[in-house]
Amino acid sequence: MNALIIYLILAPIILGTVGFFVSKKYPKLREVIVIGVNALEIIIMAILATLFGLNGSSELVINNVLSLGLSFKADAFRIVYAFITVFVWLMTITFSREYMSHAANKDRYYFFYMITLSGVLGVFFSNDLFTTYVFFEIMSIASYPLVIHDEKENTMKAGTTYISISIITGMVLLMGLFVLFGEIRSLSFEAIREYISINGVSSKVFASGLLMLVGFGAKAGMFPLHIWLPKAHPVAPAPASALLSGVLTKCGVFGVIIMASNIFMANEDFAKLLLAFAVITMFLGAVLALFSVDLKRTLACSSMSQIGFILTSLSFMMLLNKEGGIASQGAMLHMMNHSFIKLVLFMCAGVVAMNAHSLNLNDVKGYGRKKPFLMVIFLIGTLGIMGIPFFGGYTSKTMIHEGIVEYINILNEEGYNASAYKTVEWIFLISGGLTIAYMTKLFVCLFVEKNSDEIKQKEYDDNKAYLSIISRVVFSLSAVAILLIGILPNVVGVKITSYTSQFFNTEEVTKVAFFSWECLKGAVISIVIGATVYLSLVMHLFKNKDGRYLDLWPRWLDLEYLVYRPILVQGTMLLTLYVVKGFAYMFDGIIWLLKKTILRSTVYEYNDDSLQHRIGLLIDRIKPRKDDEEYHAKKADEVSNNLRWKFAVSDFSFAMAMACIGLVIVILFAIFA
Amino acid sequence: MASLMIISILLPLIGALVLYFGKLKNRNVLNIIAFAISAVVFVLSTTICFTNSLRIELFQIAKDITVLLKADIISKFFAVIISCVFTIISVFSYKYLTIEENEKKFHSFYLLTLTMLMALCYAGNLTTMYLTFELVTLCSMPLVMHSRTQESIKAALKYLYYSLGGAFVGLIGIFFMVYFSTGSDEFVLGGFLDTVKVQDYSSLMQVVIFITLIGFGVKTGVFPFQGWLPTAHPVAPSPASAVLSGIVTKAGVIAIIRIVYFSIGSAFIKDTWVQYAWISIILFTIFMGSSMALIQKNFKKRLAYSTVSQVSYIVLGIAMLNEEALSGSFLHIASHALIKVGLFLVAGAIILYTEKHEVDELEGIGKQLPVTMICYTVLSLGLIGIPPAGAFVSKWYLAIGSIDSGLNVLDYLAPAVLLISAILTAAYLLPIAVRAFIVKDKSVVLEKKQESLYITIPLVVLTILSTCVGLFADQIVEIVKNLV
Repeated sequence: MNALIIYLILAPIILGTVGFFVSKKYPKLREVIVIGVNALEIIIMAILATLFGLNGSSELVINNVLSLGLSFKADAFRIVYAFITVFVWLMTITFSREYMSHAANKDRYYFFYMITLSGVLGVFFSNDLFTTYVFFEIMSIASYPLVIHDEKENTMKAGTTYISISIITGMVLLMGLFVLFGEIRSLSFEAIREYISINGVSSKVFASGLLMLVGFGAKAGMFPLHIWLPKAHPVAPAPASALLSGVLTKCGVFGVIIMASNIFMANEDFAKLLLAFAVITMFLGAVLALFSVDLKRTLACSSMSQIGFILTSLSFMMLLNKEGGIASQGAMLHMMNHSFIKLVLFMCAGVVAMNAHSLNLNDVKGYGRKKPFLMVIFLIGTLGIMGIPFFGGYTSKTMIHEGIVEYINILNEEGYNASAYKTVEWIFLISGGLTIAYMTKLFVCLFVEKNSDEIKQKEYDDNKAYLSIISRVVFSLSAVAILLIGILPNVVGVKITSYTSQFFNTEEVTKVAFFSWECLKGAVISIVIGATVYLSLVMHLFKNKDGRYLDLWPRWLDLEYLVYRPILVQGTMLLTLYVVKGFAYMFDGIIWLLKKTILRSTVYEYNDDSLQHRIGLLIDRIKPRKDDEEYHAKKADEVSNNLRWKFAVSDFSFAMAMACIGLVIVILFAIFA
Repeated sequence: MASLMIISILLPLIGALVLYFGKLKNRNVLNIIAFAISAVVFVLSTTICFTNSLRIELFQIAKDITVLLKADIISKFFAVIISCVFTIISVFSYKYLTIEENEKKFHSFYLLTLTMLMALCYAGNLTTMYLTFELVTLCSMPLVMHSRTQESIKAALKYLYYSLGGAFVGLIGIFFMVYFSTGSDEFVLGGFLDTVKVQDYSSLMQVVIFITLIGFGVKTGVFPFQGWLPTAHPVAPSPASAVLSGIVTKAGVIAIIRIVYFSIGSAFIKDTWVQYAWISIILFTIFMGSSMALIQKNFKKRLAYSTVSQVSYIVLGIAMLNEEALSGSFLHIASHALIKVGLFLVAGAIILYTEKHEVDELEGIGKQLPVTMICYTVLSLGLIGIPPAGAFVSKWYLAIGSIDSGLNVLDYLAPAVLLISAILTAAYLLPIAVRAFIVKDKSVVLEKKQESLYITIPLVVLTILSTCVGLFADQIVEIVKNLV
């Protein structure tokens, strides 16, 4: 049984490599291999799920590999998420066939596509932080070639941001693991949970938690490390963006979940800290999305905002401790929803990019008119993420909201001031409203408004063959998933997530009254806010008189160029060039100095008045003994060379003698002082 | 069985003499001899691995000064790695040396260096170790000045002065250690110092040991004596740079391990100021090497500074004086030897095919030399410490060892420095890999070169081996289990 996990993780790497080598001669065979592998993975996932059910779990430990050994586990959470992963992969890789049909370097693309899959599956199946880290890094590095696929200049720039953030925060994460391992002596999730339940959170463990939060948070897109998200997504090929946004960010969230449920459960300090970052992420993402005039950038910022929702829910899970079932399941459900929704939306964006060759909203305006299929699919995704009742996002957002309300109620009952959390609740609702506003903006722009350029609009209207049949099937399948969760929330969403309570270390919740007024109220408030924002801001402020969307976000307000680059790049360079370089050449410098002073080659004419020279002259005045005739004769020869009485100043042995005298003085001083 | 050691030392020596004085004209024969001898030495070293400890007294220079060969676990480990890498490099040299003159001399000094390194591995007491340590320097120096240009001769002399100077400083320590020994200077785990004798002079002895460690550290490029590396590497032919960087620096590591664990005993300096000062210097070296590499424009110089920092990782593991850190050290010895040799061979392949030396010229090189640059990319990722490469596991052990060491401040500072250095490593290696494959100016036509198998096979082998070190790290960790 356990061998299946190994197969799942290794098959993409091995067969992806095989595909890479056969692609030169048989490009068709490569496509068969990569799609075949994904299809097989999904079948195996199905087998795994039916064999273990979602109730059971199974562990697998591989000793000795990488010396510390790797360990994997298949339980409800991992099976669900691995299933989503392979589903997203199968869908996107099938769509890639069409999307990438004219692209160069397809070998590289598919090769790294498969390696990234291995990395992601490894992360989700991992049962100790060491294994998580190993696959996390593989995934980070392997996804870089996907991001920079089109090799244009701004793509490379975005890619550099992505890989730099990945590597730097990866190292910070590793530091966190070092510290944690130093304290606990094990990194397996069970061992950590046990250790914490006995010993509590010491300051070192807390520090390691902060370091790990940097590592995982950066991948999840958490403020202030979100900077790669809005840059990398728009430039990557659409299927890759769907992966980045739908699944790769969840690897980061997975790490945060591990920390939240095993280490910091009921730790208020950490929960509040995470909550602060999460709320900023949630709100800032939504605001950035609202300002953006690029289709994929909007979706990327939206991803950031949705991750903020998930992290907020996780913070409340920690605050609520064991009763946090509603929050943990809300987070889990929102992760699932977000994966499916972003899969659909990014693939739709891919269709636009593929046919209209642009992502700027003003260029692609009106592209979706007279394309009912695309419109329905996009609409399902849009309504899903907006949180409109009967669509996926509503269920999860409601659960997250319930979690917040529950904690506020608890605080009120105990007589504490809950105003801070009240604010959080309102920011949550406002962010939900902004989500509605920016998604409406996208939808209206694509499917309702007409392009200002009539020729273009004509072109767009005539573009009937915009998607192949296979891709249409892929799109429909992905959309059905969103509908399933939305229409049958208690049967699908809550049921599945309730199995994961063991993983989250919370008590399970099996039923939520989704369509009660209490729950609907949140959605209604968000819709009202969203409609207000759309009608006031987007319709008037973000559009000029010709109906063009304006990019109002100030250019200079970019955390990367404002803070990170000056500190990291210029700081390092300054330090290296002026401080470290000095140290590095120190010894060479001393040698050079010696060569120029006491070790310089003999020159007869001295003009300097150094101390050494003066002492030398003094010594040279000492006359040899008169009766030493041989010496006199020798000296007489030297007179002709103009060397007489000047041997001391130009002699190395003299310098050595001086050094010895110095030493003797030091020793005498040491003895008598 | 002890004769195996002597054979593995004498064989390359004879080979060197034959190549130098013989009148062989055919370069194929020359190369085959060099390769065959390295390979045989590799086989012999591997055979010795499976024997019990060997010991043989060769002769006495004077009363009490014996030349002693011994094969313990350390010797076996180093001998296998060194001979393995030498064999791989000799395959590479076949193609590379077509652009160098005087191949005969290169091969003879190459084998001579191998001889001395083998002797250094098997050295059983301080005297023998010192003797062979000096000989390694002397025999590898002609490799540096192989091209006989003024620049290379200057660089070779610099290398010579630094190394000899360091060894002389080390010699002071050897005098002291022999004086305070229990009668013999043969390496014993835990040290041979006479504890009663040394008791009254322990503070003096600590100063001496500190000086000795730094002295032998010159070979490993310890601050402030790292200057010879960036000077000697760029001018030497690439196989020679590979030997210098990957292997000869390890000679210093051998000496330090022998002194710390087998002469004075790790307990002697544990938790003293010596350990603190030593580790501080090493940490600074790590940081300095990496950040200096970042600003180098010459590809080989960049790799040379990288060596400065990476070899200091190894010394750091020794200096932490505990099992975990030492495991990391040993893992890093293996992975650094393989990776850095691989990287210098990549530099060699680039010089061979395109005559490019500067980093800025390497744009698009991956289109010309795809296999070489793919190997480069994987090797660099390994050196940064991206799992599953060997350097990742070694870094893990080094960091855990540091945290376990219980030293103030340094216990957490050391892993932090390691990781900062890893980030810098990524910053100086990866842009080359990215730019190699992605060309800004698409109009430039880059012709794909036919990469010879003599170039690609060594590189691919090194790449695979360096990854395997990580996957099968346990065997190496086992070695250390009994040492500390």
